[in-house]
Amino acid sequence: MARADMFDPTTAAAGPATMSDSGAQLFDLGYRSYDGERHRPARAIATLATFTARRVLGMGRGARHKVLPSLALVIAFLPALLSVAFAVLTDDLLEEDLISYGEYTFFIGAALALFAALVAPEALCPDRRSGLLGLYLAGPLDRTRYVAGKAAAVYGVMLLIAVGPLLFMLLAFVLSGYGPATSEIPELLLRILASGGSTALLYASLSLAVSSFTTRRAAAAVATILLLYVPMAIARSAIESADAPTELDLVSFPFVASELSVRIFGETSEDSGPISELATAAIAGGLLTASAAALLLCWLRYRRIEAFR
Amino acid sequence: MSAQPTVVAEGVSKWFGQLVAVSDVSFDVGPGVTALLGPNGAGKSTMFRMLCGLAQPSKGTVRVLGRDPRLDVGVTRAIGLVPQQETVFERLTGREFVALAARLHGLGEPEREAERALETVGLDPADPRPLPAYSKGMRQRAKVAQAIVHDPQVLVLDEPLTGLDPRQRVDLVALFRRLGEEGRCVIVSSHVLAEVERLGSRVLVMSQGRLAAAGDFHDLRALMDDRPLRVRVRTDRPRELAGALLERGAVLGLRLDGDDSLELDTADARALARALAPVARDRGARLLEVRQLDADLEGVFRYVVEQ
Repeated sequence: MARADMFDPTTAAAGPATMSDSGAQLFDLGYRSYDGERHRPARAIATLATFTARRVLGMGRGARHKVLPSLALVIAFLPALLSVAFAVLTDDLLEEDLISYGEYTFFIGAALALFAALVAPEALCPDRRSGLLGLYLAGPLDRTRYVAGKAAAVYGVMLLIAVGPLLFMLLAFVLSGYGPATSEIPELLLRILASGGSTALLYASLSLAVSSFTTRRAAAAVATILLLYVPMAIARSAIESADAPTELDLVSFPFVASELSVRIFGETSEDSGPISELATAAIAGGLLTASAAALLLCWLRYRRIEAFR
Repeated sequence: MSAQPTVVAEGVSKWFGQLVAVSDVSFDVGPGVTALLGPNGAGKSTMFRMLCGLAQPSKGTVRVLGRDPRLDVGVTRAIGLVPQQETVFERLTGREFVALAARLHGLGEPEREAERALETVGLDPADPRPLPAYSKGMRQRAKVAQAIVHDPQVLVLDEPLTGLDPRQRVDLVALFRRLGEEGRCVIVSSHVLAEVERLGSRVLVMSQGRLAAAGDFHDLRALMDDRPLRVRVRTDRPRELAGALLERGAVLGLRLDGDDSLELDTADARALARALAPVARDRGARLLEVRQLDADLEGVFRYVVEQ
């Protein structure tokens, strides 16, 4: 079946051969069964997650696909870079002049929102729009595994932006002699992972939920931004002008993430609004509940979706 | 259709609101090639999607290798699907597209297997162009490559011959035949009935969402006893032969076609065959050709969907 001029003996093993007495052989270049190693189905989740993460970050794609991820990364890493640069280059800089680890999530709110609006729509929408979802689901991925793979990719990429700058800052400060004592590094590392992990979880799950409702990336991106900021505006307005309970501020998602980060690092926020009056457990519970509800919604959407394109 | 069915549909219906796409369809399919035929809108693609677990039957059950393809990922790993739509491609090269499928299926050497699959369908693995830049036939073959890369036990091919040139069709038909002969269950739909006929003789015919016929199409033709068989006879004495056959009552009707040809309608092909030679001998007519006209798949298909 394969054309003779395409056949490469170094890459394609010959099939069963017909041999004459003189030793001449005709090789069967047609379809050959696969009897090699087959990995477990769980491996497909990792494959999908890796493939999706690469696509979202524009890896292996044209330059225009790299612009927005690069922009978001620059916005996210810039405060850390400047902070380290000032610390290293300026002799009389006070510690309070630098961005603290706890404040960082607040400072990169725009980058987090941009990334959330970019990543999950790019991860989910094209598959349904193009019909690739059908090929995934007709293959080794069921709906749950598909959502797991996509969620892992989105969460991983969000971690890059939520944890990456803090790790960079820690590393740079330690190497330049401004960092914490060696004995404090493990604890600080855990705080960074907890802070970045919870922030990434909230942003990733919310954008996944939004993206599961549309096949259009732009619509999902806009809806994600609206979900991050509109409930916040409404809740804060209701709390301030209508004496609504302070707990309503748990829908101010960007502030939930930044306030929890501040608390994880044992710092106090200067002006986070009503949410700063809530207990840490309530904020953590709010973040986890919102994340779980969003992931559940996304999963339920995919349970019901019939791949008909 | 087979002692050990690989795919079983039992009382399957699928509706979308008020629209009934598939209505109470039951069949079983074993190893080998089976063609699922039907006019546009007959419910073939919906049936295919249910076979692959992409859609849930509104009623009834679908089993592939004894298991539910909607719930059991072990089954869907054994399925290779060539979807009808062309828009399944992102801007991947053919090799990336097929290697991704190989990775998802957990193959040990995905790049190598992707190369093999692409070569099998006559595509160059080193082609650097993204799939949207391929011709329609090349994209079609890339879809086939991703469907066969993991050596599936069940192949579901929705219009796999669309857009291919004649040579490519011949190649892919041979590939599908071979996959069927090796014991895989190959279910294929196509509008190119002549090519389907070359794939094999087992057919499922759907019409208006219902299963209109199932089985070997030669046997189906034999069952169509309310429709006369049409036989073309070429002879040097068509008028004499026509008169004699009518005299004997061996034909239901006939039509002279040119100077050397007769088209005969008969309810009993064997009786006609028995009568034809003696009548020709008695009238001194030479029989140049005797050919049944509507016993091909197209004839059966037209009859089944129009009845």
